[in-house]
Amino acid sequence: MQSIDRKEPQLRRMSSIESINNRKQHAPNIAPLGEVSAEKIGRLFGQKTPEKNIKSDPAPSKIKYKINRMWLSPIIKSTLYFGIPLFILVIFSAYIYSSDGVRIKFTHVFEDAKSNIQARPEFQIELMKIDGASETLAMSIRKSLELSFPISSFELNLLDMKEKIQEMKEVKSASLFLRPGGLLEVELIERVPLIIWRNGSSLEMIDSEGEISGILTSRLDRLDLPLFAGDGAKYFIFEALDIYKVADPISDRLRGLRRMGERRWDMILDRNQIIQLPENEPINALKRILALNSTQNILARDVETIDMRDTSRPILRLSDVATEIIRTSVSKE
Amino acid sequence: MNTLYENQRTMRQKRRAALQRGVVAILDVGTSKIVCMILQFDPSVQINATEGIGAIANHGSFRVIGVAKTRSRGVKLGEIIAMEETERAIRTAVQGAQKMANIRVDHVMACFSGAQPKSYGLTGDVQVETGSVTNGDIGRVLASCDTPNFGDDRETIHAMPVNFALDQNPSLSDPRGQIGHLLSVDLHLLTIDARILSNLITCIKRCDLELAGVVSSAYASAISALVEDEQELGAACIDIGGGSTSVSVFLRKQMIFADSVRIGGDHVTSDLSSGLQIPRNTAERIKTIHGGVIATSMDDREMIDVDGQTGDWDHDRRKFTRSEIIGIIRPRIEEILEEVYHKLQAARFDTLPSQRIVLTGGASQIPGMEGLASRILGQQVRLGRPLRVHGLPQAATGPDYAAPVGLALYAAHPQDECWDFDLPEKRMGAMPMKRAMQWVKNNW
Repeated sequence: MQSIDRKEPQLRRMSSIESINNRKQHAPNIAPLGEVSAEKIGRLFGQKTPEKNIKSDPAPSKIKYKINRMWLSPIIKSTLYFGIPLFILVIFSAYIYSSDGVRIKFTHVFEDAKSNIQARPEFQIELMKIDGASETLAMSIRKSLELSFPISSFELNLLDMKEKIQEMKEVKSASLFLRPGGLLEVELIERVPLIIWRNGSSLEMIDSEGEISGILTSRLDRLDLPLFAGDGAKYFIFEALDIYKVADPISDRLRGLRRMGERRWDMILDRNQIIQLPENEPINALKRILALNSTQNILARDVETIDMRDTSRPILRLSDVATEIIRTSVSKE
Repeated sequence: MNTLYENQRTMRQKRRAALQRGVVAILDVGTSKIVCMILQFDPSVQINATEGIGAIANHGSFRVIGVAKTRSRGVKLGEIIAMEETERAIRTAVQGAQKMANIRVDHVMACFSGAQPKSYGLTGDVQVETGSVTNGDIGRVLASCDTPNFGDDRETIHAMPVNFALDQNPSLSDPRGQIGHLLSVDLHLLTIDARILSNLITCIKRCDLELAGVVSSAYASAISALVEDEQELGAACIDIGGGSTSVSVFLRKQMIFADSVRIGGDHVTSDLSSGLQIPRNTAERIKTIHGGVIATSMDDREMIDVDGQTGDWDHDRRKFTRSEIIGIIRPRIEEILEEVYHKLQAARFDTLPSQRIVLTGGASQIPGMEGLASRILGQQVRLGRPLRVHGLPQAATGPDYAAPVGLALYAAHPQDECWDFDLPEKRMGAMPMKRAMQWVKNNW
């Protein structure tokens, strides 16, 4: 008996998908042939399904089995994974090393790549900035380093450059930096010369630590620095500087101080006047001379030497001309 | 017996060499499947094993790194009948296990269930020479056992000293160092058909493998399926395999009896196949999915499609109730269990202090097996699964893997057998001289 379909009658024509779905809903076991697999058709029509070709015996053949075991044996395994690649590597590198052309080409390629990278603008140093140095010193540093800009930062050896700069007498310490933007920065601490020391025939500038900070060709280059001479003078710089300070009223006449016998100072004025200061308390002695000078204008006279070594009294040595004049005037009287 | 003794000794040496190398394979040649397991031994743990911590404790010394199972070919009733086929199956299993382990294996220990094992209980006694028992004394007492004439075509597979007695002390497991005069031994000798054993050895040799030991699968499955106190107090392990069912009885941690029944799960399959007129593999599938041994009224209503694959529409669309299938399976299982019962009776199993029965093997998984077995064999029946060992995949932990797992345990810590002791060298020469002297003494 037919079942009564109580669904509403179809008013419009169904699309193909709708009709397939509709058919599936009402008759699930009927499907268009395109959707059914060959196996299912066979079953639908009561045919025996074709057996899938199952391999009846999956056993490996004797040779396959032996080869498989051979691959798994440790000697073969290690040769395969380690020995043979190593061998190939050794042979290849030996070939490269033995044939000149390949080796040279190899090094060329390597060098090219290296210089290409080093020549990149990121690594170029355009200029050098020197901080904390006088112009003359900066000039001499530039001259000694002999850099031609632009230069790659790979070619700079900052440690060597630092040593080279620090070898200069004017430089106390130096530090070098590569700043972004192609800047080589040199920060210097200069030795500040305190005095000039006439050592034999050369004029050496000496700083507060007793180190030579430069050599002068002429005294006139640094008229602002006091001049000392004599052996051992540089070990008593501060005493000498005190004497210099006290001698301020006659500074226009003062030429320098000379250490005598490594124990006391001679003060040298122009016109070859010499004030011989005592070993002990030379400043007091100098003050007495200055006092004498201010009252009696003693230094303006024709005095060759004022000997203050005996602190109890100054001894004057007149020049030959003055002695002669005095002698003649006395003999006239 | 001497050549056998030498053979077994060389196998022991190979086993030791394999353990030193650290890799040994286990091969279980069954009727329905061949299993190959590759064990990796940790030498540091092996050192402890020599200090005698027991067979169970030693199973931490190895790790299963490869297992492969393949359908067995050319084996019937646990015996090789087509060597070429079996060799291919062994190759498949070994190659699969090697692939999983990613290592080559050269030494293999094998077990199989067929070849009609027969147990003999032997005794021997000897006077202790130096006052306290030495290894030499044990060798002599083992040699003094009278070997029964079991025929040329049989060979000893196990010869285990089960029990030592020293003067009045009747049960010693290890008499070495003890003081006494008369040392006697109970020796359990298990013999099998030599031709079948040589078939197996040839198959393994042809696969480029070295045989490091042969074990009866009755013994192997009992090692893994029986727990220690069952082995101590007395238990029987019944391994119901594909082609044969092996029975072993344990007492005081020693196997005292082994036998096999030449019926197994395959016979159930062939019964189903012929009873329902369906191909064997369909029958096998129906047995494993719908099989059972105890029918209930629910089973009358459970219809099972049986696809005959003949092309005949009517024949291929038959349906059977589960009760009908159970009706085919059950008599065969009962037959197996009754045979086992007779074997146990023959071994006087009922005199043991504890009569535990452990069912294992693939066919023991049939639902209702436990209940049926307890009706036939005795009340204390349980289903045994093999011991857990390191690295064994979940798929290989079922009762059908009892024999390979037991063999793995055996490989790690074998029982001392006759050939582990130095037998007196001039035994064959000395005996007639001794007899002559005895004769002279008696008659003068």
